[in-house]
Amino acid sequence: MNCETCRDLIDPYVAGTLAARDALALEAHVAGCAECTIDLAAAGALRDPVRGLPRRIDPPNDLWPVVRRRLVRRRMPGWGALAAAAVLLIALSSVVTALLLDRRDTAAVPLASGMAAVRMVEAGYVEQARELEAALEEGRDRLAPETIATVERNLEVIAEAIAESRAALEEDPANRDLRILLRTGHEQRVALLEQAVRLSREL
Amino acid sequence: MRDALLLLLLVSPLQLAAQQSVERGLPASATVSIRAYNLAGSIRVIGWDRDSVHVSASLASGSRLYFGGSRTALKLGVEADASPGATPPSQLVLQVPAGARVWLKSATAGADVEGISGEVDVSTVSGDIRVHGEPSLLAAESMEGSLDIDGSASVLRLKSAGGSIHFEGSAGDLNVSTVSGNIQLDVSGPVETGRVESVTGRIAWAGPVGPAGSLDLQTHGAHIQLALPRSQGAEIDVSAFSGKVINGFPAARRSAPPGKPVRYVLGNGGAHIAVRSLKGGVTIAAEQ
Repeated sequence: MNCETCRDLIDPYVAGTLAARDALALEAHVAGCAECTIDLAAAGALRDPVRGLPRRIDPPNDLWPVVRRRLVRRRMPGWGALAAAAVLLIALSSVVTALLLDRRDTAAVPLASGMAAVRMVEAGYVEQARELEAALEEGRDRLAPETIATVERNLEVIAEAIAESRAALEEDPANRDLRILLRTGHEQRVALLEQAVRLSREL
Repeated sequence: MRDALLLLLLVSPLQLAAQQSVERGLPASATVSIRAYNLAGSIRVIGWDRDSVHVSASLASGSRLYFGGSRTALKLGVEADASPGATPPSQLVLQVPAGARVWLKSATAGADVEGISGEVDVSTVSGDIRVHGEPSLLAAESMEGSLDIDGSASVLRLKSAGGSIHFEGSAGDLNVSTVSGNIQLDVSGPVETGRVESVTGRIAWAGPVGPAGSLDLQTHGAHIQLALPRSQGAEIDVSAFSGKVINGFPAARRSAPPGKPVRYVLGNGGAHIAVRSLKGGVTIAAEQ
């Protein structure tokens, strides 16, 4: 199983509707993948499938670099990023602790859910974008005015899309597709800024 | 008439002097790594069946060709005294071993690659990108230029912000993304993993998805057109929040479990296809 497939299956897994074969494959993947462990933690409460997980899952040794890379790509993180990383790690450690305690009841592990989880994930992207915007500002002189205009125009398009996706999600916080649309908006914003920063450094 | 002739006599020598032709060659390994830069004008790379690299450049006034490296790694490009936004156009043509690994960078220069079977990585700001051939891996991105790709690659990564993307051929692993550009994909071989996304650009997909493959088509505010072979087996989950969904695939069986996307099942299922649009409509059709 790859990360993309895993992300698609996290919601049915959390809801307990995933087929057993797929659930086992997801668990095997998550056990060795720090990024998907974070996605699983951010997806909300874990229910029955927790019991099927191994009694002990050690956090991957390289967890912190992955968290850090998600938050800031090129610079030291600001306080916002550190706070977001801390929240993520706390959420993650709740999962790990619960697993270590070998919970046998079916109660949900108390994790952030609904819009709180969404905001938590968004905070990481927002901080990442902020750092990239600062880097772009530094390299602004090396880009043609038309290029800057193109970047800004497309960033506006993305910002509008993010706002609309978030508004829709607030109406229906559990909607998986709306969450994916919102996350994609953030990913596109970060990707566009990364592309612009790369151009400003390479040209 | 006399004035026109006089002007022609004055201008022609200037134009001739303004362009300088340079030819360079270097022996190279069959899989040489090449990094080439040309900010403005054009850059063309042609794969050939020889163990050497040949560079032919037509340089603008004030521009120079730099060229250095070894048989296995080569770096070359056009340098100009002008600021990045005012670089005069130069033309660069490279003939390289077909198995070369090629990395191209430009600003306004268009990039044209053909006949390369190694990895190809092309990036421009506003120059159009055209790739024809069968690179093992193709990554092409432009901020505003269009991408026109014809051929096959086992791994394909295409990205633009405002430019359109057109792909015709086959790719096992495909990832295509734009912000506002339109995407047109005419896929001839089954895709195993595909992800196509835009914000306001229209998405049109035509082609098969592998029996165990997955395809994700997503846009925020544009229309998605999904055309599949009549023999395609698939489960298609469609989430169109405010747009209309049109099913033009007669064999599709529709189900809409509460709280879940509308699902269409083709044949015995198999491939998984997810289609999402917040504001746009979705059309599912059988390929003509």
